[in-house]
Amino acid sequence: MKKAEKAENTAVMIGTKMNKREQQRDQVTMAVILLCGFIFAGCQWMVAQEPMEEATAEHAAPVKTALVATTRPPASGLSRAPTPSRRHAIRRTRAS
Amino acid sequence: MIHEFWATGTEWWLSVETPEHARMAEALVRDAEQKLSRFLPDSKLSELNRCRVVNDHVLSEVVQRAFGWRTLTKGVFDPTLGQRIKALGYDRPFLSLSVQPIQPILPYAPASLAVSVAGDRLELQGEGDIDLGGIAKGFIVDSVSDMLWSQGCRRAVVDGGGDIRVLGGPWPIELESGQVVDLSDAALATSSVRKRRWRDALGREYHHILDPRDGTPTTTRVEVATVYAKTAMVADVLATALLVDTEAICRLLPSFQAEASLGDAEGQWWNTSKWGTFK
Repeated sequence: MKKAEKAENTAVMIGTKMNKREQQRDQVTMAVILLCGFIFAGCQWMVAQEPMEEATAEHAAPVKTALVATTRPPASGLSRAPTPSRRHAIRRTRAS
Repeated sequence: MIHEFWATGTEWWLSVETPEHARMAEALVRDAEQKLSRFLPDSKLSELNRCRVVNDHVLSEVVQRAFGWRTLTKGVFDPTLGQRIKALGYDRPFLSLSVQPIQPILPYAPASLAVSVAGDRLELQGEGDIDLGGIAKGFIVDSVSDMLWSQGCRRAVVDGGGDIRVLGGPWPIELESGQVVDLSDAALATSSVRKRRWRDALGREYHHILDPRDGTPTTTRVEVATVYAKTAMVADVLATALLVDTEAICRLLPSFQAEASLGDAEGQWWNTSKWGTFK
């Protein structure tokens, strides 16, 4: 009878230990899952940056177009003024 | 000799041959200011706007020319916006304008102003006031230049606040772009929406070049216009009108043997095809 009780107690103790181990294992698993999640999210974010750069490059076209548009003369028959010649002037025409 | 003085709300700079030339030129400018200024309450122009009738040779000549330019430019240059510019707040010499915030913008009704002329007698008909901004200073610069020529002066520079006409030459004149051009027996005038700006009581910003079509400050891409022409008045009017309708006035320039250099809002400068090859 005593042997049987002892064996039962031992079994309970082993069961308890096993439960603890399972809990620890679950915690580790959870931690690994979370870690993987973070890494995955991080990778996703980094991947997301590259397409953004490409998108910027793609969007550069309309911006360039806009720049081309602004280099259009403000009226027909006009051309870009040459670089100013730095020389002495007696007076300066200006709005007053 | 160099002679400088302050009149018409700006600095005048003359290079003339004799002190008598200088004296006569300054007297002429001051006399013209007494007739053409809308900021002097006792000027002939103020009298015309107030009493609707006035007799004056100089004012009659400038008003007729201003209305002529209104026809030539198909209304792009318009001397009948006097009440509108006052309503927007430009109702006193500009130096004192920024001190007081003005009233908010008022609804715009195009002026139905006409003028009848009989000799030197002018009579206004309809609503609105005459404003000779964009023509009066050019007219005065020309008057001084013509007077100097008639007095035997053959080499002179008449600079009325940046509207310049020269006798003889070449005289090197700098533009707002930094470019220097050689000017001989001709004129340069510059208009800009970057100057004479003010805010109303609500903080909205205005400038002094109005679009006659809607009575608001112009919003063209061109912010600075310098015009070369044989006379300062032609250059003055066209420079102002270029800020209202650049395309239309550019087409008009060859009729007056005028050339233009334009500065846009992006800081770029544009020239008409014969700019700089002045003859």
